[in-house]
Amino acid sequence: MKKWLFVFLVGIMALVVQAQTLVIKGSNTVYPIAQLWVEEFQKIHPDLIVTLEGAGSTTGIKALFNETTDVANSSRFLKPSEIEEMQKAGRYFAPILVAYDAIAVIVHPSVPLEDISIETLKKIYTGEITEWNQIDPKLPKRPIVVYSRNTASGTFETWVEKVLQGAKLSPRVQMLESSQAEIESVAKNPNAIAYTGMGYVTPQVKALKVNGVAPSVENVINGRYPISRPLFVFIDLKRFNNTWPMEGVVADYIRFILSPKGQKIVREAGYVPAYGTGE
Amino acid sequence: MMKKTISFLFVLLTSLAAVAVAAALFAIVFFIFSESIRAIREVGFGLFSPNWYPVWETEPEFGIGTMLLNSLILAVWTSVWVWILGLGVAIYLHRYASNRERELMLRILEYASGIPSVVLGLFGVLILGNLFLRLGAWSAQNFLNASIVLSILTLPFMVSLTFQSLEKVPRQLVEGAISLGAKDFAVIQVELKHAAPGIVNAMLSVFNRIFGETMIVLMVAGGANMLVGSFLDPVRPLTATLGSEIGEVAAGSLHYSVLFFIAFLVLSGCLILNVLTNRITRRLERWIKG
Repeated sequence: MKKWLFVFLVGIMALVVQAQTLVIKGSNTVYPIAQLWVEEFQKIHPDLIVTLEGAGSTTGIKALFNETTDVANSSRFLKPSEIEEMQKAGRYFAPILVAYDAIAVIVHPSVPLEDISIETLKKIYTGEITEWNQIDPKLPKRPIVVYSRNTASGTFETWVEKVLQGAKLSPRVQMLESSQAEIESVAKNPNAIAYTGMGYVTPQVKALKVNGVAPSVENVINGRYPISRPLFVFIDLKRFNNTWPMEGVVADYIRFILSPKGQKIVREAGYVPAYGTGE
Repeated sequence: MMKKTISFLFVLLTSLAAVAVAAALFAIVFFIFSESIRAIREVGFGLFSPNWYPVWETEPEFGIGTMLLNSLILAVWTSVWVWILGLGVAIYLHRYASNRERELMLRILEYASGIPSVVLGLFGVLILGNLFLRLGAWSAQNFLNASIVLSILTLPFMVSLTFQSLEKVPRQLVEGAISLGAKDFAVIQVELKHAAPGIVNAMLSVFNRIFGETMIVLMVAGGANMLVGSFLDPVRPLTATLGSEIGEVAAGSLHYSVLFFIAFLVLSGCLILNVLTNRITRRLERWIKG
């Protein structure tokens, strides 16, 4: 009995020691992609224990400083203050561009509107404009039903930054819990407007041009589409003797997310891949 | 000897479990309160202002006034309907329904009370929402939609609890009233008076349930932080905000603390209401025995 217990304990110890871990923290925007990446990555490394947390880009970069994470997801580049702190500490956080978050503005297919400007969008979302005919006299005199993602989503963050430019939302704006709910709501309501990650747009709704630029992958990558931002993954090179890691879990993970398969996952999660998907 | 130890162990185990439950309850209340202290200290009375802009980097605002009012208006309005309807149905089942009718209705209510709130929420979004749009409402998710779905959720409780308390009224009392020449209405009055503790209990539980319900309001109330001005306005009750934002908020931030303050508010509201229910029920019982 005792002997078996001992063997059992040693076995567990061996497992714990052997099991490799990968800790990923950071942006809520990158989180849905990272979830799919981790899922696939664990199929290649079945023994790997991965911890994934989404608590904001700042938290992720802070965790990189504290060495409590291996990989930091971020929906923004490093702030000047962070770069300063990094240099002072003699460290280098390598930025890896992994995807673009592009947001499409969607309306009901019956709305006779093709193009909308950022200013108009801002007016709609701050409540300065409440009826369709205020955008264009040809449109019906009906209230605009404005939908937004809830404040927890990364899409919302991008929207506040790129469209609202820090201004406050009108209290009439309805918060929805998922991109799916937004598509459904807009598809049913001819007076609705909403925004969603470009990858989620379906034929049930119409995606508008913004400032005359169509929401397409080409326009996002060539930088012409105004409501988009690059998404990054940061790793701390000091942990790899200030060189690029060629082996180890982190190296494998980075290689995987940049591979055609990893980039295909970016598209599956509703974002625009930064590199080729092999198609 | 063996038997004694076993029985001793059993007593020990059950009392430990009881203590653990009580401790857990206190721990929860304490934890929620301690997490909300920062909000109370830093925002103060601003917590009850109407504007809710928690994630703006410049001038964030943490006012839950609008949400609190919406929550209360929604709960009161819906409860009153559920109370009236529930009481009516229960009296009908108790006095006028045939045996078969009663059996059938009770069976249906039993099943209805087992429907998860997510499913009811889906019903509100998919079916009621479309109906509202077809009837010309500007938003599919709105106050009335939430109110209807919440009524569906709580009506079975109201009916079955009220019905049970009516059934418990002693037969002799009713027979006595009838033999004194009481008409139908007077008999019902006698029964209602006797069933009052149970009925009041049911009414307050219903209110509590509606005030605390999260999933349904998250799905069908509309999610706009505007004070309800018409039945078709989208609203956002307290619990919806809590349910929507607590999952992704940065732990330890002011926003996080304010969300805990909301939780504390809802929890203490429910606790106070529970205590009140007990008090009132006991007083009513004494009044009946009178």
